[in-house]
Amino acid sequence: MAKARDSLPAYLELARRHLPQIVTRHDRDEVALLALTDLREVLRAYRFETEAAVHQGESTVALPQFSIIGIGDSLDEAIEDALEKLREYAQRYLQRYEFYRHTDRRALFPLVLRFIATPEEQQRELLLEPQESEAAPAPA
Amino acid sequence: MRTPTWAEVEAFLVADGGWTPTRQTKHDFYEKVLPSGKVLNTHVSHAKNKSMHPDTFAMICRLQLELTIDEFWDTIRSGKSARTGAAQPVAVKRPPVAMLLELERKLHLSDAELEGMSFEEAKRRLDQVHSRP
Repeated sequence: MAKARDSLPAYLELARRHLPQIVTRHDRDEVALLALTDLREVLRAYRFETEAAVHQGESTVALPQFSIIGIGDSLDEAIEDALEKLREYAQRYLQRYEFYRHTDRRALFPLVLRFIATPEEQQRELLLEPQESEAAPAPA
Repeated sequence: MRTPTWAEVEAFLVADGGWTPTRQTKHDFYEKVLPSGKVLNTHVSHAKNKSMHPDTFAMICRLQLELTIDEFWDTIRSGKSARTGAAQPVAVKRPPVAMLLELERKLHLSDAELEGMSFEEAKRRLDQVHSRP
């Protein structure tokens, strides 16, 4: 353990330089050290779907992949409500991943990771990205 | 269309059965695992006597409770789950939030003008904006 502790700064530095490190203990319990920017890049293709509706006095922003519905007096309030519910959902999802990974919610894992790997002040932007049907075709 | 109060949504969850509370914050959150292994989740506002817009109610039935509006009310009336597995009616496709924000920003549309706007209408309006010289 002391050796691993001594080596950790070097591993972190390599990971920071886009060289992911695989750390193994007793030939099992493998974990990867990956720079946060690299993790965000890996997960960039996972998009958050939204459905929004405006009505006078009540707007809704739904996140169908999560069955989350944000409700507010305005569109902005509905976005904030959806984000707050998604933050709570993401925390619970990771705490209970051993359960969710045996359900249809398993597919949400990359989206949840992408959400929590994004600074809170930038999470709103995730809901505003072009969705698959609107996105421009990827360059060849 | 009559829409339920949040107290009635809570009563629905009790009558439908199998919903377990998961967390309590600004809202009460519930989860239900269907026999197929599919997980449903929903929330109940603390403003129990307040109701909601018909579009919000339809969205809750479609995306969270996964039943028809008739099945929701039948469950409340009978006090037991009235899920039949019937297909849910096809909903009006709503635009992504980014499209509505762009319409607000570029065309200065009011809430009244954005009221209930479908995906097709939002796309048509934005295509007009984008095709302007």
